[in-house]
Amino acid sequence: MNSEVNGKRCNSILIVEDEKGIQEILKMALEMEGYQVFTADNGKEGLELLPKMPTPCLILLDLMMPVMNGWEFAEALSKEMTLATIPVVIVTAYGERAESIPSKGVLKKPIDLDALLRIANEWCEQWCNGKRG
Amino acid sequence: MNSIHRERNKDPTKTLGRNFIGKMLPFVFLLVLISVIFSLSRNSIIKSIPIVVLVQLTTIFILGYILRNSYVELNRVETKHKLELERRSDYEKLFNLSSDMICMATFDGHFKQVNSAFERILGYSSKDLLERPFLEFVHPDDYERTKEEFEKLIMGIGSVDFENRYLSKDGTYKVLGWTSSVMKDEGIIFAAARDLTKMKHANEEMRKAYDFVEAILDNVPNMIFVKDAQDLKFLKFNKAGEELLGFKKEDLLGKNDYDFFPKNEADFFTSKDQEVLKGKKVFEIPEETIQTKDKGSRVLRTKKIPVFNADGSPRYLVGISEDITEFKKINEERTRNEFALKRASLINGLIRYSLDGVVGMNVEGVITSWNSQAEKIFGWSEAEALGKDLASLIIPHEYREAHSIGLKKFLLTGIGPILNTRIELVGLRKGEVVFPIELTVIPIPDNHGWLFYAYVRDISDRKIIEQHQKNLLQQEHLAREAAEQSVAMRDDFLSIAAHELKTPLTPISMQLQLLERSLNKVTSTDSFSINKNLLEITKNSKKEVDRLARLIDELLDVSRISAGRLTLHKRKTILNDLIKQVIDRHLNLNVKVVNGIHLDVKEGLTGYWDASRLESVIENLVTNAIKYGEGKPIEIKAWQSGDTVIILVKDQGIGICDEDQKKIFQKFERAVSVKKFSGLGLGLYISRKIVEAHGGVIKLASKVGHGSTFRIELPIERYEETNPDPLSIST
Repeated sequence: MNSEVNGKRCNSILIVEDEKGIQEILKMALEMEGYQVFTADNGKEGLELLPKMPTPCLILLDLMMPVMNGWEFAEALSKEMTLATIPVVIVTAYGERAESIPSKGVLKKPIDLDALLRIANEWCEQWCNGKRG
Repeated sequence: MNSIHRERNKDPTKTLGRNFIGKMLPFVFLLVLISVIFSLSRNSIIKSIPIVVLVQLTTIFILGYILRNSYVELNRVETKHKLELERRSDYEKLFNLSSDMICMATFDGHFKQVNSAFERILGYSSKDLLERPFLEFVHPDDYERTKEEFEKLIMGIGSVDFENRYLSKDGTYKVLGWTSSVMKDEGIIFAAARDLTKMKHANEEMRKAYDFVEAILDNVPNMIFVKDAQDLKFLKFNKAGEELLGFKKEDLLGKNDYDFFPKNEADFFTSKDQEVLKGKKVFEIPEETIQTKDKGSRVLRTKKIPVFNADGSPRYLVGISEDITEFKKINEERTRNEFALKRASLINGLIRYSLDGVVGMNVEGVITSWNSQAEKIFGWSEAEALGKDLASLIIPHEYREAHSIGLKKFLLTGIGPILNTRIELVGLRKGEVVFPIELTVIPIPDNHGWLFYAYVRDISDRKIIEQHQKNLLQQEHLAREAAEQSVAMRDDFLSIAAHELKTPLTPISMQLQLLERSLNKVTSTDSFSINKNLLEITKNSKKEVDRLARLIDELLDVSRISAGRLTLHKRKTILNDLIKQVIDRHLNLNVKVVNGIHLDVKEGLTGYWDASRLESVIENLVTNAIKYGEGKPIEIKAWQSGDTVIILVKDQGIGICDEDQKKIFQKFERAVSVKKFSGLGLGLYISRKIVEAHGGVIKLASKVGHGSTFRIELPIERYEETNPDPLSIST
């Protein structure tokens, strides 16, 4: 955590979540841990945001969203060579139909904060180490 | 004849001597002459005998010869005459010796000579017979014929076997059979006659006897036949037999059964006949059916009687057959009638005491039975109904034609679709009231064709009830539809509500977690006590939020199950991990698990299940065990048995009574009172549904005061190896 990659700190996380309340609390919790958090209200915004932000070490992805849902976002993401390897953790209320997305895990709502932070730490470290290595 | 007579009347030795001397004489004479000539010429001794003596001797011989010849001739004539006389006497004897009548007659119609047989047979003297013209003796009925025959004789035509009757002296007539020849030139008729009277009489007697037997045979109404024992050909057939079989005697006699019957029948009859002849006793065939020429098939009762020769060999087979066709028919008819009578009385009883209205009808559609129930149903008394046309009395106008057509059709074809089955129709009651009836019509064969019996029930009341029930059913149906609709609405609402409730719950829960985390970090001693209170409040709030979230989840699950929307998302799941996560979570939550949880889970229990839902099932059972376990140890076991994984969750708590056990897996059921333990009581219902959706079962064994054991039997389904192995993260 907090390690730098190519002069940039390797601690960006992208949250793609339409529910503002969840979006904000996730952001707050992660920022309190020192992550640089970017938020998008739906898949489309997320995709648009990705080139403008530091490459995230983790994407927290909601499934049920307007405009572009989580599945569509994951699909689009997998087609981008540079982005396809970014770890994606799904944040959902029901854990349904999450299997179709090649994710690193599922966080069930209401989200257990400890689990969230553990996952964020785990994947970001792996990602950043991988990049460095 | 002549020579015989001669031989019989002369002396043979005499005749022989005479002939010898006669024949020798010329030779003796010639010898003497030669001797004389010789002596004259040579011999002296002979020369000494004088010539005169020789001449004298010669003369004597010649004279002797002549004398002898005369004697012979005389003797011959005498003998001839004598023979003639003898012959006449023979003829006379023969003539008179004949037992047949022999006569000569002249063309003038008189006997010229008759033999003694005439006198003996007819009783007249020959004188009487010769005096009168013989036609006078002829029976007046035979006169003309006799005259004609006589005239033929005169014309030179002989006659053989001519019969007529001659009056005898005692006034009786004798039957004579004549053979006559004629010597036309001499005008003489020779005739011989034989007295046929006795023979005729005997013949007549025989004929009478025969006629007698024939008359008896022909008047016997039974067929009588006689067969030859050897070839079984018919020798005799009486009139009844002719009439029965339809063949004339002439057609039958000399033939056997094979000439009249089909081979199989003939074989049968012949074998029977042979049996009878072999068995040597009367054989009775109580019933046999034969095909006759004109009378069709007839049933016979036959007795066969073997008749034997003196030596015991079979001679005839006599058959007596009685045609019992009619008798049998009558007998059967009687039996039928008796049966019909019995049946009629039975039917009457059945009709009279039937709880249904019974109406009987004949083929003309006329009412033949009408019981007291029918009186009640239709309002007509038995006296009023009997003999009436059924259709006009109890069938409403619009159905009468169909009734008539149906009846005709049945009588023609035997097809009656409404017969023998329970049908609902309408009937007509006295006063032209149409009302619903239920009936079954039964056709019963009868001497006159058919009788129809209708069992009738007035179903007016039932119809009202049925209508009422129908209305109720309809109402119930509508109510159910409405209820189902409202249930669906409720489920929809529940689903939406749960979803909506859960949405803000996530950030609240997270904020509380964050708050708790933040408070834990604060180390200021001044505010420690405050922080401690805040931390406590936060923890409690978080616990309530978790409970709220769980309740909402349950509600959501139930609404999904109710709407049939419970879908499983199966993937490879390691049961050991699931159980461990559930236990860890409980231990982390610091729940009062005083004596701990004993785990006995076999390694490597893996299946293709919906991990998230299966976890919630185990979670539910463990929560319950803790909740109702009274702090006593909880046991969790899992092992594989064949294609099934078995999970046991056992507590030693308050237990569940039998009655509650039955409904504990139902919706909104909870074994304990609301006061003691909160919750919606949906957990076990959801668990059951989830296990069942996996093809498994969940069972409960419990005893009040001793605890409960929940047992899940879960089929191990094959999972697809190609599926990636996603990381399971529990919350």
